[in-house]
Amino acid sequence: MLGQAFKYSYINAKVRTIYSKRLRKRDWAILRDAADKNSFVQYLSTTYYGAYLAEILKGPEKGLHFLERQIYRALFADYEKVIRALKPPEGQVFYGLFSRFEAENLKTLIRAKKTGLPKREVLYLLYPVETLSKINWHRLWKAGSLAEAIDLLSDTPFGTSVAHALPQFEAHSRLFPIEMAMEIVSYRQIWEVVSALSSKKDKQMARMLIGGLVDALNIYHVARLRFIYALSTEETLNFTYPGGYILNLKRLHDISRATDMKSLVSYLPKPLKAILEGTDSLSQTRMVLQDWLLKRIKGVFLTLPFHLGVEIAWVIYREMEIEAILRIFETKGRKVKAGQVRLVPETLIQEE
Amino acid sequence: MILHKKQKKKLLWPFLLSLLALAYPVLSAGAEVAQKVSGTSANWGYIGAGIAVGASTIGAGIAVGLVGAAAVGAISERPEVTGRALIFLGLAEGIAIYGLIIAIMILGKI
Repeated sequence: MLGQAFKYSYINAKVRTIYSKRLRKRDWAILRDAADKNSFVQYLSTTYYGAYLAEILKGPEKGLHFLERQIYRALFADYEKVIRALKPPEGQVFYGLFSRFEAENLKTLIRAKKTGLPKREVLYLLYPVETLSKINWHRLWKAGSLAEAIDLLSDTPFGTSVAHALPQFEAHSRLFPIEMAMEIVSYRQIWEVVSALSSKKDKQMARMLIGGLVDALNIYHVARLRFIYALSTEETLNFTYPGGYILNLKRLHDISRATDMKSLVSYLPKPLKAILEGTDSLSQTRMVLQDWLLKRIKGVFLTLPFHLGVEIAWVIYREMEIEAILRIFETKGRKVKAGQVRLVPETLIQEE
Repeated sequence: MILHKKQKKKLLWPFLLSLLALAYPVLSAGAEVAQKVSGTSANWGYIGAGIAVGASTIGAGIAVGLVGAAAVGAISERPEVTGRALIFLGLAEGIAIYGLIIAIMILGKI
């Protein structure tokens, strides 16, 4: 216990202090009611995110992707703080979580390589991962072809899986298997590090939180693949993320057989079934699942203070906060009335 | 809550006086020890006082280490909590004083 206290007293105090600066009910109301993108960004700059919005405040551009690039710097700064304060294997858990954004950038890179677009054309789609990433992005962008880029990935954790997915791409000219391979690699990386954690409490919290995130992603993902892309049960199951907390392989197989949202919900175990009953749209499902996860996250801040769960909870919370900010921003300039669509999970708004 | 120079000066004298008051019994006891007690019981008393001070100092060290680390973490994100963080550091430091008081009481009995 004392060892845990020494390990986490600094970083947990830091994280809790940053957590205290999260957006509150009043902030969400003001952002939601902002008349246009300008006033939205102006108000956002008065919050914790202000430090990261200098460029968007100076320039005329107020596009979604531009804001996205700026605002995600806040999340990556948090990752940096946590990784700097924790030694391996604890710090590696955050590298694993961070690698999900590297995977997103790699997906964009691969798409750009396939269509022959230069970096500047897709720059607005890339996450600002440079400060933390160990991947040599410069070399990757300089690669002349997709095959060359994939070759260059061989010395990264993504290398082997992407190489395995390459024949499928060549046979059907579909990028999807490669993209999924990258995402799945990120999660495998996380679980490898989580299983190497020495503290039982750390392991338990990591499994509960990251596993919860994976469960939520898998439900949403299966629904999308089955009902929108009409993928077969086997294919859907192949493309699920590893390491859920509640959904084991059998459950995943069950929900991959679902033909509509109602049957998907019926295959879920009790706690998830209860919260998802009655949801019919994908966006609603996503919001309900985020709410469920956020409740767990908020609970972590109320338990014993010295474990890895606090940091994991925070980075996931921040990620969801940013997603909600961007969702509201997207509606500015469109004819979406306040309250018409649920843009922010209820738990983000609720004050304890 | 950051203390200004004037405030620090004001606090310095009461602090020194209270230290002196605490130290007095020890000093006076030291002079009388030889007359009052002799032999093994006095030796045990000295050991007890030493343990009281040593253990409480170790405890305070651990507490200051933990509170200090947390304080640095919190202050680095919100400098305005410095004053409050110092109060908690003071409380942690206080653990050593308890040991010192016990030691003084032991030495006073010898």
